[in-house]
Amino acid sequence: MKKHNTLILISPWLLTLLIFWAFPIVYSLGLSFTNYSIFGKTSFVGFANFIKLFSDSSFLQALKNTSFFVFGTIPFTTVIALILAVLIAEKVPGHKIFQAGYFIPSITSMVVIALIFSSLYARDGYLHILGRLAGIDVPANGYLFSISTALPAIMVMDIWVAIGYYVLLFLAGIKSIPIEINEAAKLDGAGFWRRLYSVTLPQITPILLFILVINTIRSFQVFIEIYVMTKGGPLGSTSTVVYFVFEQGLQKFNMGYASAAAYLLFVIILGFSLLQMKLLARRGSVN
Amino acid sequence: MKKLLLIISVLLISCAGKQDTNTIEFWQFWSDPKAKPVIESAVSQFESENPGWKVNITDLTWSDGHQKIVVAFGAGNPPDLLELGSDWIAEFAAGNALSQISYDTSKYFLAEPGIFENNIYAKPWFLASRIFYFNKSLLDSANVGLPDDWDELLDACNTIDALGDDIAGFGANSAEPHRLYKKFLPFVWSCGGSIINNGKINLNTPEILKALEYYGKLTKCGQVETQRHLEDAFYEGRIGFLISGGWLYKRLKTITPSFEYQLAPMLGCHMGEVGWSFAGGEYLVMPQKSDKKQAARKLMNIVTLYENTKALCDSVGFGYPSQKDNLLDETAEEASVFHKQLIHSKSTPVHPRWVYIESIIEEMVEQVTLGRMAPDTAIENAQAKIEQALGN
Repeated sequence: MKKHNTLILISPWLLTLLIFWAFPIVYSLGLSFTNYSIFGKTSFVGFANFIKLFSDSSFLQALKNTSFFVFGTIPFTTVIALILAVLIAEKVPGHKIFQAGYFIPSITSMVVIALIFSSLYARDGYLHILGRLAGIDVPANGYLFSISTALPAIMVMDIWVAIGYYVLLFLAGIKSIPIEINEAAKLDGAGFWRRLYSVTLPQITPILLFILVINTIRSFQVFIEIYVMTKGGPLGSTSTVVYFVFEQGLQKFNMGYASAAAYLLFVIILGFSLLQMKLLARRGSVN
Repeated sequence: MKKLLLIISVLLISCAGKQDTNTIEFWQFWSDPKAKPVIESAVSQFESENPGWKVNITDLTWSDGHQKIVVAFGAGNPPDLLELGSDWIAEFAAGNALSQISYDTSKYFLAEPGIFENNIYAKPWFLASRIFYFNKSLLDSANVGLPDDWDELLDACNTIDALGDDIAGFGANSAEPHRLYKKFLPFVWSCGGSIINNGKINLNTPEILKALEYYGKLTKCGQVETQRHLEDAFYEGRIGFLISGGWLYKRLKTITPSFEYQLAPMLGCHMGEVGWSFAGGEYLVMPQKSDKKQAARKLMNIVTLYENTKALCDSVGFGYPSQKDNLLDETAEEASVFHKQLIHSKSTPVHPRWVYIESIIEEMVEQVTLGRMAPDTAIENAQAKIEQALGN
């Protein structure tokens, strides 16, 4: 009876999970081995979709852009968030205002932020005007319409948006370090930097690992900002893997091909996450 | 366990849709607060003329309407009457998803997008063309008159662009999917060219090369942006001229800008030639799977009546009904630049895989406007991609 009641109580969540999460995930795995078409006949194609992806210049460019985005944002996001968290933990004047201020972008809709930054980056936007006033060789039509600056411009925005959340996570980690350890280090004559390197960083390794893993997953899945700001342009220079999946699946209705790309992305993210966990677990055990 | 199954059953039953045998499902894109009552009025007319029948109107949006429609067809649950954009009809017709209809196409303007492989699948409803908007004040500042041909247009573009860093000659569209090709194709058509000849796509023509070279030059003295941003910039007096539809005219009429503006039709390739424009159209279709085709057909006829469509155009402030008799009456009081341009307008070339073709054409234009490829190379590259995509 007790078991049945438990099942009844969790059934709304369980049903949602099964219908809207588990089923589409399994179904799309099946689709990835077909040439599913809404209007045509669907047939099994084996690994053809996966093989085709590796010779598809649009997918390879999207993969390259995604990798550039991931490796270009994660170090900055992590380091800046760590520095800000340490400064806030040291209770610099106005630290509470900074703490709230950094978090505001994280709770603001990405669509709204992307629209605001689109205006700032435009030819008549403030960031473009500032660049011109500073004598920088800015792209004639704004940052988002030049192949060399479009993706970096989105990355800068993304770093600005993301750091607030990671500041809070780092701060929680720093505050959980027993005060005695820091006091003992101070008594032993350790300065700020020494304590940071030898006490704070080793103590927050689990938080660092968590941040790196979720930041990697989030960065590999970048989509909203691309959809709102550039639609993958100019000339595919901001197209990412998730945008590629969207374009193939929901605009060209190549559901099988899009599913294959999505599963390839899943394997890549899984691989990176496992690698990070292994490397940091080893570093944690050494420390 | 029985209790659990009971709860699941109740949940599933409550979620299931209710099918009413005398209700027509009508999906359409007019959610504008001024347009919606006009649509509802036409629907009421149908309901009063056909007692016992009800119409359930579902509003779609242009941002995700296409996805919703395709998913509905995929799920085998399409509506009974459906509004489609001119560039989507061939895709659905090729998939045997639409019912054939019959009407006198000679009496309707731009009926071609509704015809696929000699069969009629869609009835034109609402048409709207694009024209040139000139900032007359900037033309005066640059000491140039209203251009009469492509050479004069390019001169005006360069002269206005030289007026200052914040001023651009031409409002050039960035590669927003489904938009850029609508701005580029009029230049091809105005040179006498076309994308599809005898059912085959051929970009390697002198007309397309000339249009691409010219569009590249115009972009160099222009500002590349999204359509929305370009229209904002024009409204603020920072763009010499751009191509847009009646919605911009409505905006300029509603709140008068600080400068003088002038509307003009598209320009021909050579002096004295008529320039062609792109006309967007809304069409009504009946899905093959509908089991209420007869009633849906009656609703289609009432919705597309001249007086109902005219009321719709008046409510949104732009566009024309598709009936030729009324459209070709150039002596009519409402004759305007839009009216005349619509007569010299074409719509999306009819091809079931147009969604692929348009993206390749847009990439071709972007390769030139970004200076990555010479026009002839970009054309050859695009032609090869199209042949690969179509499996030729």
